[in-house]
Amino acid sequence: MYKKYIILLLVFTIFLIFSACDNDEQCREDNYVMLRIGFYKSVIDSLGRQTNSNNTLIVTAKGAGSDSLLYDSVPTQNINLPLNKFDNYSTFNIFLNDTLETFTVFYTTKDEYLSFECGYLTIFSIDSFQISGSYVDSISFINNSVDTQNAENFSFHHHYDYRQ
Amino acid sequence: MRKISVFITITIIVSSLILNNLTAQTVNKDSSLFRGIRLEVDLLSPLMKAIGASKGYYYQGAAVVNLKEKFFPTIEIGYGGINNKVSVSGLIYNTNALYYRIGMDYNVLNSTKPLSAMNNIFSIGARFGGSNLLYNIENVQITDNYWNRNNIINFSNQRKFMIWWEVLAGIRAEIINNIFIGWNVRIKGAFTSPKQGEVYPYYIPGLGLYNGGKWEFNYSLGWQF
Repeated sequence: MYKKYIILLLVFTIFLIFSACDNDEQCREDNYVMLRIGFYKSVIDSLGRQTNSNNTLIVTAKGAGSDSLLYDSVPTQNINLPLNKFDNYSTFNIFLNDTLETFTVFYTTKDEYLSFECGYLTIFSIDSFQISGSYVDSISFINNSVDTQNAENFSFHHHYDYRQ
Repeated sequence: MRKISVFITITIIVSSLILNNLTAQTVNKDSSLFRGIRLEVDLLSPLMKAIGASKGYYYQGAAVVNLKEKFFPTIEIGYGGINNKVSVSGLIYNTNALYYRIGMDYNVLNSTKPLSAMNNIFSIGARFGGSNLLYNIENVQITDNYWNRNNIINFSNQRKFMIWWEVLAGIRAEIINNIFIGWNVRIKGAFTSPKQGEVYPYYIPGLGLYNGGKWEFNYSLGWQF
């Protein structure tokens, strides 16, 4: 008699365990990627020694031709910008401490199917860039791949030179 | 909740039939290798989707060769699929296909002793499964909310040949002359994983979800001749 209940319990336990393994249909992957830019200051002291550190700037940014602001006077050390998936370039107007920089990146796109739950992902490979403005003194092109790694792609440097 | 209650009720009734029969021992002194062929249909497969235990529907049956009540080479054939399944991201998935499995069960009950459960089987086994399926993934949206651009792609008539493994355990009991009833539980997995960027099938008849838990529970009714 006990054997009957033990086997029944076993059947239900197995059923519940395997039910719990079923897919819950939630998307758990990033299906949107953005270009990432970090801000740095390079300070050269009176003795000629250079130190680099993060730079917090007041940022206002939007895509050229778009009315929607991406950042509206936000103090930050880095920004994420959405690249246009349907063109091979994107231009952004970026105010750094009220100084306008016009930044254009040229890239190639690649569409990747992720899963039934998450759909499609577009990733970008940056080929070149242009910048015009007076705040950014130099740019480091760190990583040409805009993907789910969310790595920094560019660093914008502003120099402070205290040499006599 | 009602669906689960139905499932539990069925489980109790069928398990009771099987377990009661396990106590009714019979003697079989047949020494031949070939003891017959059993044809089975899975009674539970039409209910699995209804009770939420499977994303897709499927119907299946099996032909089982009985070798000395110990080894049971098995061929299973089924038909299953999923129609107009919509994902959280709005994709629509469709597939319907035949699937096949081949394998063997081994009866762990000792069939040589007199008064043992000669016509009852407590088996463990393995299967090798395959399906050559055609599937559609539609309404794949590429959206760019900031730049206000959108595009929709359809992947129609995609074909993939899938193979997979299964490990299972189950019992069979002869409830009346040559009529068997019993259950199996099986876990399974594909031999391959989706390649990066591949528009791979969401659900594979016979296997289940390509990415996700893969298990199956069967209640079988069989006739041995």
